[in-house]
Amino acid sequence: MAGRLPRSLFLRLYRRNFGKLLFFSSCLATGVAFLFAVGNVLDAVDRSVSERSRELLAADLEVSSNRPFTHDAQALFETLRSEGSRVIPMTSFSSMLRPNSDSGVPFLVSVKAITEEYPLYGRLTLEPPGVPLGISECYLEDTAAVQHGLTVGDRVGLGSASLRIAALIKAEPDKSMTRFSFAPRVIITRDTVARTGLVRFGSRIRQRRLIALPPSNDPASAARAAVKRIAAGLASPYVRITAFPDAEPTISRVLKRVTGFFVVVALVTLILGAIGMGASLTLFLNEQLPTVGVLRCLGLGSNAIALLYHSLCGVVGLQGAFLGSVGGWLLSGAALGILREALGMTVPVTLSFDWLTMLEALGVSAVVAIGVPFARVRALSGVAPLAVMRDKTEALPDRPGPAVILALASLAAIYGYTLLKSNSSEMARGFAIGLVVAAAGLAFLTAAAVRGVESFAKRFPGLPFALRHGLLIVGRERARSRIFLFTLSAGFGLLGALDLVRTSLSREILLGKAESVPDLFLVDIQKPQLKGVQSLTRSFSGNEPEYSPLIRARFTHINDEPIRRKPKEGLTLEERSRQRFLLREYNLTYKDKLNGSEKIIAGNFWSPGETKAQISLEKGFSERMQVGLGDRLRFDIQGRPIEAVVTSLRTIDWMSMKPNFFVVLPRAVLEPAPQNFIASFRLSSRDNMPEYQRALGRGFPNVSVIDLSKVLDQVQDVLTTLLAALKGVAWFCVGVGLLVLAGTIALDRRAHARRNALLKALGCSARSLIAIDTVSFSMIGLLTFVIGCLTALGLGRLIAHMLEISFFVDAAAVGKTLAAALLFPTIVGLLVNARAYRADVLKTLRAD
Amino acid sequence: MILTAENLIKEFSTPRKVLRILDGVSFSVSAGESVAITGPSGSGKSSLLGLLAGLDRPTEGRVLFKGQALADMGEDGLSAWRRNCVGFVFQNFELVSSLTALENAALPLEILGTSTRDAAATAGNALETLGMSSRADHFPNELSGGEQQRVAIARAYVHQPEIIFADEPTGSLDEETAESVVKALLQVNEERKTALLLVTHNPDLAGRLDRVLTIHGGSVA
Ligand SMILES: Nc1ncnc2c1ncn2[C@@H]1O[C@H](COP(=O)(O)OP(=O)(O)OP(=O)(O)O)[C@@H](O)[C@H]1O
Ligand SMILES: [Mg+2]
Repeated sequence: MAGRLPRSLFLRLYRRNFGKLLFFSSCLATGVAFLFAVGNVLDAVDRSVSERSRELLAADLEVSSNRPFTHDAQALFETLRSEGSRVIPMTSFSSMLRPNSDSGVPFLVSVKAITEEYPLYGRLTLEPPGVPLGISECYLEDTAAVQHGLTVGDRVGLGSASLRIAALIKAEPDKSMTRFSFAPRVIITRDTVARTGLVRFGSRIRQRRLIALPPSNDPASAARAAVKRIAAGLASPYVRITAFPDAEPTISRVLKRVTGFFVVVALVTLILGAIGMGASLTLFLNEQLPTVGVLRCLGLGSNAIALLYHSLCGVVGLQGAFLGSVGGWLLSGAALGILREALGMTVPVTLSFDWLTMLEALGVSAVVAIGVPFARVRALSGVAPLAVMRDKTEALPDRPGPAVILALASLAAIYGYTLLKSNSSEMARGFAIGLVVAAAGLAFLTAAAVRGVESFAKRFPGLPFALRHGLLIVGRERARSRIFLFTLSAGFGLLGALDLVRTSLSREILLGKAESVPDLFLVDIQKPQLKGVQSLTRSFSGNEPEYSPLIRARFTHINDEPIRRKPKEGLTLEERSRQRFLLREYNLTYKDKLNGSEKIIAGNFWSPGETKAQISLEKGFSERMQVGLGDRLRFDIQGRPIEAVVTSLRTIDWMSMKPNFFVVLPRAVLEPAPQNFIASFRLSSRDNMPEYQRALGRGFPNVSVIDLSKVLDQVQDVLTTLLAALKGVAWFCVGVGLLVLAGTIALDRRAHARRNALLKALGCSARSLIAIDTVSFSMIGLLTFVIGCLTALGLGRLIAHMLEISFFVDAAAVGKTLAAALLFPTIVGLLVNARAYRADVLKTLRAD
Repeated sequence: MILTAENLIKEFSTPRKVLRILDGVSFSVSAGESVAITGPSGSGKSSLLGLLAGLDRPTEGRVLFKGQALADMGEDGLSAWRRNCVGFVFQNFELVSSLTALENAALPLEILGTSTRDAAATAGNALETLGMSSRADHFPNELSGGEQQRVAIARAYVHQPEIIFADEPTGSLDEETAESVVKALLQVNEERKTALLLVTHNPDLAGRLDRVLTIHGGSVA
């Protein structure tokens, strides 16, 4: 029979159920709204983070080289200048600084020569503040001044120049965590460099250009684009170009995860909305059974019925898209306002509302609204008329075919959409498969739980009246219980999973702030000094710092093939860069035990006492070197060759701030080699810092202290900002989820009121009715809690894995969310049905 | 007098106007008496029965049970009264869909606090009397209209109420089954002196009861 849509019927049905349909649309709309708000919010977060991270570079980009810039390069900088960029030169090199007193011992410093325009972003904090730098003056890092008993006004020797300390450096913008030099900072003017006589041919000097691009709407992309352009223009392996978003890997890595998390949250909200809509639409369709029965008996074909209800679902989708777009726009506005305050943003962020987004909303809503209840509508239209008439209150029969199709379709839809949003096929695959597996598991668990409740109530007929009937309601009204349980445990499971992922991420981010993370480094400890430094440091830090031996070495052979400098003509840029990489001098270390931040991902790490020469390589390093397990590497340690086989590959969590090395060998193999040590630790009290430094300066003047606490604080600051945004977003998602779930419970009011009216007619007191409902809702709550916990753990682990976050179960945090799951159905259920306990019986029964 | 209706008025307000269904209905029923209520369709029989059983509130007038006004009993008192003294058969049966026939019939006893086992035994006997024991474990949607009606009747008297209200209890039954149902109700009425108020369109059935009240134009004659 042709499926002609009975239009008047459709309109009547729509008008009759307008309120409900609007609610279904709103469920969907919250998800859609959030999906769009998240785009705008992400944009804002991204910008405010990049605003801060370019302070960590003091520029939009930095171009650096160990050789003087060529004429081509100079010309390129001129072009940039003429286009409105600011380009300032900077030079850095290492040298010894000599205090001008009798007791003063020379120490290694890292010199930076600047111009007046430095820094382009961020601030150089001095003590006393704002002191200008003269040609025969310098600024010295405050920690070094304390250690060596120097103050403002003292004179120091640098090369052949004698300089007066004009001020102490308290904070320097571009001293980032990963690029810090192993020596305290001295800043001089560029004109002073010549006076020192240190810049001669062959000395290791790094030439830099700091560049601030003209203001742009998207500084990060602009910086990256400029990097590409300069790299192409210079085409030199000796030049390193860094854009500010990539200057601080910790931040960009965290930002990447946070972005991933936002996308997951957005998808979860959409899924919550879809579940809420699906559940309530299913309840609605079940309620439609009698109507459909009559229509079928009156001769309306099943195709016409299918068309009727598909159209109704389609209208729900349209309304959802409209509400969602408008809501998303308003939500973005509100969120941006809050974020601008919270993040202290200065970059203007514009709200975007374009037709493409609107179209996307339309597509998503239509697909979800028609797709999710598709199987239900099919079942509704296909059912035999008489069976419908009889089957007044029970649910539609389940048919496996459409359910399987629905599962496959959602798999494809979630995959496609995640791919579109996250640009990561791995994430899309994981998410899609994970969700579908979770849904199947949930369907199975809820069905089993409901059956379990029924057989429990049946097995114990001696249970008190309210308890028995409360349980029977859950166990016997199977279809409804299953919808509730599924919706609630999926909802709370997702929320719990988000909570777990968020707390894992926060934990990882805040680890930098934790007491355990070292913020002080000692460098250049000589072997004979080790015992003394150890006992001195132990008395100040309260625990045993980690000491790592440091051995300088060059690689000479890979699998017997010598590494030779080939004439650079005839080599591609890539080959030249690899050649440089291979010819560099490296710091090796030896140890027989991994520290907590390392993980073996291939091969096996040796056991303590190993004497056979072997190597453990960092994964990224092995990739750049193009070697793997089983390859033989030969290197040269001050003239002595050593050969070893790669037996394991490691990953390193650089955020741990532990001293880590690309190349590690067994202790017994390297112990005799010439070496010095570095140490990382934290003082038991920051107040002891000057005293510790003075003691160290007296006993071991050559040992430098590198203080990373300020840098760490700066990075932490940015990360904490991200966390705040994260939390806000997650809470919003919880809010939406709870509303949708509450709505689903509320939808069941009618069937509920009817049963209560009947029991009341039979003489049940309001108190017993409340007791029965409390039992049944609490039972749903309990099951939600159990199933929700399982779901949260499973999905949480999956999402964490996808975002490369080490999964950590914060029982207290997730406990709170899931405790809500325990009480939520009861509270909402009793509130929603409160009126029914007092309602007139006949009125309620007639209301059908 | 076990039940007295005093000048009952019932109005429904519809969007367009106020409908007065009952317009000053007064009568009394003495203990153990059986009364038939007849009248054309839509005359307000079901509405009257609902008022008498305290399932709805009259617009004006009052209903007294053994001299006490239902309106004065309070919500909890009314519930207690219904579970102890009243049995009710709805025109469209109104069984709890998630309970079996036996469980539905046993429900009033369970509400009274009888153990599930004893309640089931008593309800089982009642169903047997009505020829329903073979369907005791079926759910309402697996029963025919007549079968559902018999479960509803069993549910109305298992707890030995003082008064039973039955809204067309034989409406969906064939003659033979109807006869057995009427017999069961009359037997309860006679043996336990249970008052019986029964709405019916069937003049023969009405004639078998002690008294017939006819509703017409909102009042009884
Ligand atoms: N809640 C209500 N709102 C408006 N009108 C109502 C309401 N309840 C009942 N009525 C009207 O009151 C009148 C009496 O209804 P009632 O069900 O009492 O009739 P009845 O005598 O039992 O009829 P029948 O023999 O067909 O069962 C009907 O016209 C009905 O439409
Ligand atoms: Mg009636």
